Amino acid sequence: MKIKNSMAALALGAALIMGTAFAGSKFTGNGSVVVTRNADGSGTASGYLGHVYNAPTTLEFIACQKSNFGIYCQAKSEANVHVACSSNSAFLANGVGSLSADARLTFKWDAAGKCTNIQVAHSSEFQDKQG
Amino acid sequence: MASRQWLMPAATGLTGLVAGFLMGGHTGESPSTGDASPHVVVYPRADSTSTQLPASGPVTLDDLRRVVREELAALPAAGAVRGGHDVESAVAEPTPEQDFAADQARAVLGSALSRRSWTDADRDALAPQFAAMSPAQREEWLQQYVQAVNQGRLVPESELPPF
Repeated sequence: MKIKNSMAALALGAALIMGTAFAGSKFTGNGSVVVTRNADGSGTASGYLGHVYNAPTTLEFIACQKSNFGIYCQAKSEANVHVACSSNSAFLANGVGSLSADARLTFKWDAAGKCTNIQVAHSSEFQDKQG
Repeated sequence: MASRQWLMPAATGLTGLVAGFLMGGHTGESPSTGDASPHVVVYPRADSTSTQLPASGPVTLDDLRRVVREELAALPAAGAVRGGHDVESAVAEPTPEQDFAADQARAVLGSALSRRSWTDADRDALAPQFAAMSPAQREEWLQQYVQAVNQGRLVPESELPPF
């Protein structure tokens, strides 16, 4: 019986080690919302949706939505800097439509507050939302 | 200049349509060899069972040129009325109801700016006005709202969009 238990423990340990070894590359940053505001009123916001959701932070979020009124993106950093942009661009709306729950989202805006660029990245390196 | 950009694709498409229409009735034509002028001849498909000869001669490039010239001449001048609406005045003037809604929406934003806070109550007050505004008015309102947020003059108290 003891031998059986030892064998089982060994097998489990080996499986865990192998699982770790072959789990794949991971994103090693904290994924927090980063807001950059330029002097002319333009700027950039970026964040990893899964990482932000799983983080112990309380203020930060980043989001985009599209509706019949166009698209609207907004982000708030943990430093409580809130930014937003809007656009009627169907091209950018396609980008918002491709957003998934665990993507990296980056949006840029011009001095007038118009969204000028939306990047949606999906990667196995990114965390999924937990819980 | 920009208003004439549609002319070239329109002419190209029209040429194709006219050529296709004229050639469509000429399957089964034998290639002509004795005519010095260039012309277009359509050979029958390999699986065609038609043995009828066309009622008229082959379609020449001169025929195509003439048809295209006639069709282009029949088109309205660039920048003129298209589809019954003047292109230059395609953006309709807002109605009095839209103007009223825009005034109300501006008042909601003005009140929020004075408090430096955008609340759910503001959002509720805006919703019917926002829906009633013209697209251009909505865009203008959103621009003012977004600029105020980005400049820190307005702090959204909610994670919901303003409309």
